[in-house]
Amino acid sequence: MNTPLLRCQDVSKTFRASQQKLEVLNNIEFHIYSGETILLFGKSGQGKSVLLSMLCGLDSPTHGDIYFNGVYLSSCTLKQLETIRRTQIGIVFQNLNLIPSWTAVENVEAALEDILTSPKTKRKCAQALLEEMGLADRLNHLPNELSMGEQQRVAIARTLIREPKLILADEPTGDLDAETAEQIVYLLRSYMQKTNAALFVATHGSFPDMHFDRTLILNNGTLAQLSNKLQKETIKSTQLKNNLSLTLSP
Amino acid sequence: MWKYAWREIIRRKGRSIAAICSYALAVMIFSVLVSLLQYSERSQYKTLYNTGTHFIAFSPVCCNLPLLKDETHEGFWANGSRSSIMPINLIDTIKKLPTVRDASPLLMFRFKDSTNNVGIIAAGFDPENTISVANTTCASTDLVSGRFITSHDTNAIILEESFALSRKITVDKSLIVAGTSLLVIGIVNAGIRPVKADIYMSLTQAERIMSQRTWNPIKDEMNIILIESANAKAHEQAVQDVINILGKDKIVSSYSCHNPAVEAININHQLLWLGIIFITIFITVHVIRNHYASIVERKREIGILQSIGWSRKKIVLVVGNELILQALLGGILGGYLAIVYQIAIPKSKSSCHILCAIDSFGNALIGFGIVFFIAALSALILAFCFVRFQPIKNLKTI
Repeated sequence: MNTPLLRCQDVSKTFRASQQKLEVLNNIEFHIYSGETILLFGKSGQGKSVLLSMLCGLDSPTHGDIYFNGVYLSSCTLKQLETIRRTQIGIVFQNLNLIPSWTAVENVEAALEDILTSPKTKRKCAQALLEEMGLADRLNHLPNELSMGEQQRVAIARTLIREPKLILADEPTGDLDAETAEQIVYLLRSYMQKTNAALFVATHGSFPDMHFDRTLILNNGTLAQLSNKLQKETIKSTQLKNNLSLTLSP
Repeated sequence: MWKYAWREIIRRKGRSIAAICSYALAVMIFSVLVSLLQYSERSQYKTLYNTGTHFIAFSPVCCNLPLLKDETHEGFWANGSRSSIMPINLIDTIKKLPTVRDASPLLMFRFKDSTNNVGIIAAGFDPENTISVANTTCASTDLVSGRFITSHDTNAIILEESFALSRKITVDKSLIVAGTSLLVIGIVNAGIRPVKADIYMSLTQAERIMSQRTWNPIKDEMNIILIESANAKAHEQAVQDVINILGKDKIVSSYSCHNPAVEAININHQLLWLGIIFITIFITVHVIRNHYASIVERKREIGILQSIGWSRKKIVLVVGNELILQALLGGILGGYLAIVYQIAIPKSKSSCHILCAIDSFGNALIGFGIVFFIAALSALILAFCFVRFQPIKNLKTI
């Protein structure tokens, strides 16, 4: 069997707020292989974003181990984590996190800062990718001058331009209409076909029809995996959020 | 990295202009304070120079000297009493003292006056000396009428105005002293000086006339030493050094207002330093607060850059450079305004005495340097502090 690209072992995350312990994630275990697509379902506030931030080394687990490409993330120095985030793991944030004072092309080329040295080459690559994503006429627009779908595409372009081995996407189609959401899915799928990267998508409910190798469900801090049959049924239903409690009941 | 900084400044105009203006103001304030300090230094020197950086030394005697022809009515005179004469080569020894700027000999003699019993006090000095003589006796600037005496003048004298008025003598008239007719070439009002006489003449002239009243000729001798301290702060030490050379039986006389003047000026000076320290602290706090607000505002952006793999060093440089660039622009503007201000206000107006003290490019540069240093240091430290946070803390929520 192949070595997993990412291995999550017994991961827990606890927050302290107002002298209260809040256990968001509890003994999470799963792995991701190269080229694999995984859908993570979970209601709002279940800890999906927290899990994603730990997978890319932006946060660290309270307990448990995360290995990326055989490297134990908790033992990495800040510099090593920077390198991993820059070259191997890309994250698309739920709220996009584009720099408001930078144009679309500047936001995208920023991701190449320590990868390419020539400013001209960086600009060329960023422009080419944005044009491929249908944003040729929006290159020099600031994020607040773009529609939600366009912003989403810029955020995805910023992630894909670095050609990461693992893409983490947090609600990538959350606030989009069906047509735009389909476009986003198409973009991610085409990239995966080209590069054999792994895709880990977190969503709280509806997601466009796309085949995922596995579907994980996060509920009350614990993770469950749906069977293939149930997974197909579930994906057909875009109202999973409403059925989630029924699905998980014994 | 500067391109990112410049981009931020251009695109966030409001914030950048506010920051640049605050730096400009800080540099202006600093430039004014530095100018004030320099002004205070100059004033201190000037005041103390006029109140006490010069003094006289002489040797009083209790009885009449045997060399005098008329021991009863005449004699060498200093500070209202009889004094003895000293060799003129002492001047060279005193001049070598590091605390002494200049020293000059003076002969002062009380002649018997045939017209009344008051007597005439005559002083002979080196008219070419513009340092110790001018400060302790009289100077050409004290002239009321006529001209000042030169070392080439023979049988010529200048009179103290009060003496001239009491005797009703004017310029170009003659006065007989020790049987010699002397032409009055000028009248002075010397004001309050350590050495006051009725008539003044050159040292060679004085030697000649005074020799007529002594059994032995006066040559290379003096009875008063006129001394100028190296500076106001060295004055006390200069007095002590001269006493050490002349011996304890000699008298050193200086202005009594010197010490109170030193105290008063030191208080002003210390207050100014206190003001500078206070303003420095205020500007430092203001700059740090400004930078802190700016970085907090960009905290999320720092998190974003961290999440896409930017190195900490690069983020520190991007954020720090933006703040440094603001300080640089503000500093240049403030320095420029300080110089323009100085040029715009004519120095002759007494009402702008203090503000007109911004008199050099150097002051603007000092103000700029201090503010820029504070700004650059705090920018880099604060940026580094924020970059050290876990990215998630900067992003807050993903």
